[in-house]
Amino acid sequence: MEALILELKKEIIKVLNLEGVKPEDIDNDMPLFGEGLGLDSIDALELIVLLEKNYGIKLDDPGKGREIFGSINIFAKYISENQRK
Amino acid sequence: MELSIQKYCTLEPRKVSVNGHKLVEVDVQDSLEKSLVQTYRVLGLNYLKFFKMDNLSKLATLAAECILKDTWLYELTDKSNLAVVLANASSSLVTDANYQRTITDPGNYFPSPSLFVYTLPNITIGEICLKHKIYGENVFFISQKFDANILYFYVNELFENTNTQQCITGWVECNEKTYEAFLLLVDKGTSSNKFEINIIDKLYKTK
Amino acid sequence: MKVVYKMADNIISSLGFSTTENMEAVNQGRSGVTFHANEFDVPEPFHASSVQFDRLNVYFETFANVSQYTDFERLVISSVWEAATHTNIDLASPETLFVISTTKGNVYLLDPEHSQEFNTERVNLWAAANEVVSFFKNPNTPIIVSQACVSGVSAVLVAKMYLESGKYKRVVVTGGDVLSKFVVTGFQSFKALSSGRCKPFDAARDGLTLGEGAATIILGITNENSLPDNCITVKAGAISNDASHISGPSRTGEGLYRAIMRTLEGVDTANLAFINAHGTATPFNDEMEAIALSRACLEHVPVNSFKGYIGHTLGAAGLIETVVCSLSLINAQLVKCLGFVTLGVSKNIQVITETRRFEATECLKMASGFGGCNAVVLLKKYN
Repeated sequence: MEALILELKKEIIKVLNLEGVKPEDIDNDMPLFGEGLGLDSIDALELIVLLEKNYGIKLDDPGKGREIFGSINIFAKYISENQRK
Repeated sequence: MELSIQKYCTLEPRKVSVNGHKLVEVDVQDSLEKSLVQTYRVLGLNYLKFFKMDNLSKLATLAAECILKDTWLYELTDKSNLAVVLANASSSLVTDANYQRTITDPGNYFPSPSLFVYTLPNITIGEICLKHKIYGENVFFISQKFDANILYFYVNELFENTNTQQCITGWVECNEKTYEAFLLLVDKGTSSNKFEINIIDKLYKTK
Repeated sequence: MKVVYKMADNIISSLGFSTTENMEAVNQGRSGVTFHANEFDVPEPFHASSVQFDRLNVYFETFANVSQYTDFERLVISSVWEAATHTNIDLASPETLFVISTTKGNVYLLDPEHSQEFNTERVNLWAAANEVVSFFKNPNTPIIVSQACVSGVSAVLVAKMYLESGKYKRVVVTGGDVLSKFVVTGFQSFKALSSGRCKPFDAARDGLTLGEGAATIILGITNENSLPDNCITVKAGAISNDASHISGPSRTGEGLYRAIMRTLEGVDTANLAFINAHGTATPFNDEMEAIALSRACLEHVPVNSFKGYIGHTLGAAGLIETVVCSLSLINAQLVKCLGFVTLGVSKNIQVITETRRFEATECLKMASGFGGCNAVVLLKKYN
């Protein structure tokens, strides 16, 4: 799970162009949207692409995304339970 | 109505000029994106959204910063009489091609929303208005090459017939080979450069 | 006083190739939206309103060579051609200007499947526009407006300015957009598309339905007392920016509210017969428009969206829908908001559910688009 969490943080930083953010800056329980990391609706859509591209998980309902992307821990847990790649 | 060019700026991969004087020089980079990022750093900007933008919007954001900085407009929190009228030749073609690459290969088919959102040239205006809280008239024109006539005509009409009191207008062009931005800040005040077609052309050609 | 007025028009959409054909379908409550699977090589099926290009090409071949033009160019040229049959203006005159509205023009030429069909330059909007004006032998550089989904309404306002300045006697405002893998997949990546035909302002709305089409509005200018009977004039308009987000609409309807207020300065809103909204049926757009209308104290004015009939035709939308608005004014008959059943926005706007006649002579046409732009135009019928 540690390895997945680190990989996930690196991917998020890369794919969302989070300038100046390092994996150690992202707390595992920090909200990714709103306050916390301050991601927005387009970022949420790109995370849906990331889920499918890197982990083979298809998410058709963007509404569900907000729950799954709540924090790194929630995100990583979802991936490890549903991963297809 | 007599309008004046209060300020103008130009941006190219190696340099940024304001009112005809070099503001900063930028070291050679091996990509246009790196040139834009390096320009951002040399100008001392602090705006993290910049890194999410495509090259065209990065260019427009830098140019708008240069044209507004150190003017009375910069700190104004509601710029409802400031219009933004931009033009270019390539529209958002570079980003269009980048987006196309995310859908071409059926074996690697991942349409990218963060690229798709930049496949419209007026997103440049959206980014400028969002950063500087500009609510005035805005239009994006396409023309094969820089055409002072279009901008001159439309900007004059805006001042004559709408609530426009100031206008950022110019050319923001980005293609595979290079980029160039040429922006003017126009208002009803006096200045050494009248907002006239021959002066606009002269300033563009001597940038 | 000089007034800008409509001399002729055309609509090409899934509903037909002329304004008459389109209005007949609209009056019958017919929609051109259909289900598309395995089209444009797009893996996920979608609903859309598409033009019958086979039929268009037969029409086109009667006056031009199909193989020399792209789908987009044929669509726009056909639209101008048909509009011009209703008037005797000289399209080749230096006193006639073309203003062209499109979001993506020939973008499908970027697809390797199509990139060999024309030279590489043709993918540029200026190249496509040049094909259109050259076809009609017009000597003036066309003015090309590319401003997301407000391109059409913006083009009408740009045209109005050119006419009022006296620089041109007539302006041909034309534009269009075609469906393509590029456009469909892009909106799919935004999860913005409806699961069936779109439902503007409805509680069950779940996204927009794409469309393709073209429209032409030929505008002239004359003294108020010389206007032809029953004609439509372009009275006022404004474009504003939300300054809030590049793809999502402002939660306070800021840009649209300001554009409405600037358009209605000095106007008696009691004379508004209806307001045609952008009404794409995305959860956020329709809510935003309702909020803007409420802020502008226009909740009581009948409102509709035409997207249920012809989908969201992007660069053509503002033009097609302005033409439909003008016919609605001329016929003094409201157009139902197809797809609407139950109010699903937080403001009590009056969505039109049945056609009925009216006496007022003005209407507003609104549009909003990516980039936070919003455009509004006020049309008036002169008797």
